[in-house]
Amino acid sequence: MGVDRGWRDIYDPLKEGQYVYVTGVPAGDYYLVMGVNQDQSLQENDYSDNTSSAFVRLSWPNGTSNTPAVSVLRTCAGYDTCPLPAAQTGDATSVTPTAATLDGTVNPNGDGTSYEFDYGASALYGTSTARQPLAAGGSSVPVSAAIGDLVPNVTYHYRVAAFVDGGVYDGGDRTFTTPPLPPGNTLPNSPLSPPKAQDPAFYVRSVHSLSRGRVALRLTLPQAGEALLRATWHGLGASSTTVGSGRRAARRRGTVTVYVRPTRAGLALLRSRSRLAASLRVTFKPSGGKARALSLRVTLRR
Amino acid sequence: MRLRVSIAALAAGLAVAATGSAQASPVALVPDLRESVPSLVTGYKDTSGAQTQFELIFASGLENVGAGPLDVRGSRPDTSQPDMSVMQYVHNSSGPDTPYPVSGKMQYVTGGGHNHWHYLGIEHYELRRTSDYSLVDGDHKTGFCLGDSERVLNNPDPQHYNWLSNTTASRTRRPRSASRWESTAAGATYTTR
Repeated sequence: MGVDRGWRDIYDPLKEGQYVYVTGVPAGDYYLVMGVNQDQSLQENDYSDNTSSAFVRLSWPNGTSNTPAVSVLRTCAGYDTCPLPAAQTGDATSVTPTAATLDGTVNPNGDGTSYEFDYGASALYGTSTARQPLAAGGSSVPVSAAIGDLVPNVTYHYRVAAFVDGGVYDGGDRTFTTPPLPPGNTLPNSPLSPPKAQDPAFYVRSVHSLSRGRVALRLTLPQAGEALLRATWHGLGASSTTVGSGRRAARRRGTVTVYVRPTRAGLALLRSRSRLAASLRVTFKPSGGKARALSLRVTLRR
Repeated sequence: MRLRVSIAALAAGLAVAATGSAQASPVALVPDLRESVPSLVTGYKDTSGAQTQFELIFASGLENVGAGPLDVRGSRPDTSQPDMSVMQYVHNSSGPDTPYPVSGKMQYVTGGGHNHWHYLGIEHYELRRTSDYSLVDGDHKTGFCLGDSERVLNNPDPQHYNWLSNTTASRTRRPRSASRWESTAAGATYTTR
């Protein structure tokens, strides 16, 4: 008997012996480890690839007298351990009114991974850097990304995130604030109001970039009033362009959906590019009260 | 003139033959075994025994990505011995295969979907805690029947042996030796040694 060169011998889960017992085993994280010819009694030309493993998460959603649930968070070919990647968000450096460099570390903890930085005017982020590959390894690797097109005098949230087997492992949320423009700078419409993420009664719950330049915002409002939106694109020239706007009246407190619809200028810009990053100012004017505002970045898609 | 050409051709032929024999020193076609990553991992409630057991069930795979086939053959002095001792035969690019003694053994296994000879202990499974790598449970496998289930390389051996263990012939308990199953168009044939 044997296995020919270039072939695999498979044992499916319902074959005899294809199991380990978990009766009475607590919920938690485990390695499922498999090895072939581990005593090296068979002649081979490479013994380094004889073990593989998986990081599995065991749980008992219906109690320990019912079938357990298991999810595989990662598989590792050639390793007898399979730890998850680790990410740590670092400092924001070289912060200017419109740009910054985001730092962090990523430990692949095995096979290669990829990472990106997410950032935005709230902890919902909304903008990500291009995903970068990271080679296999077992130690923390410094990573960084330069970002631009920021709005002066705005507090930004950011994080580094690693990706493996469909899982996201983020390094934690941090913030930095862009300084205001120096006097005499010609960049218009700044500073925008900083986001009121700490205001539990008025905040953006979610942002969805739809087709044909539309953006849908779910807003939580503290009382009856009117929400006004204006998306502005800061081009290379001295003036800004309103590329989208919308409004929504609310009769009572709660959550409403407001659509930013592209203006004629916005549609004209989108004809020359597939997407457009714009600053969005959200103003809520309560009935008989003082207006409050927050700002964030949105992406208009063609 | 014709004679002279023939002699020259003969001399050239001898030279080619001499060169060919010098190049034909055998090369060992050693296999390279690789363990596939665990797959199809699922929780399972086993009520077949006297006591209900909860299990993680899974698929496993043994791959050969080396230069030659994994060829293991069992034998026993007589059929009163329940187990067979095992030799591995490393194929060569020419000439006979090279035998190597192996510490494992073959055993005839019945039940659990099996009714044939198994090579014991070639694979092992373990569940370990991520916190301290302590063992939670080991495997319960009685052995492996070894065969070619699917291709793992795009360029498998052109002289594919097509090892199949689940053949009618493999279900006999009687042979003194268990060798390879060579699949032919007419079906599997069992080679005794």
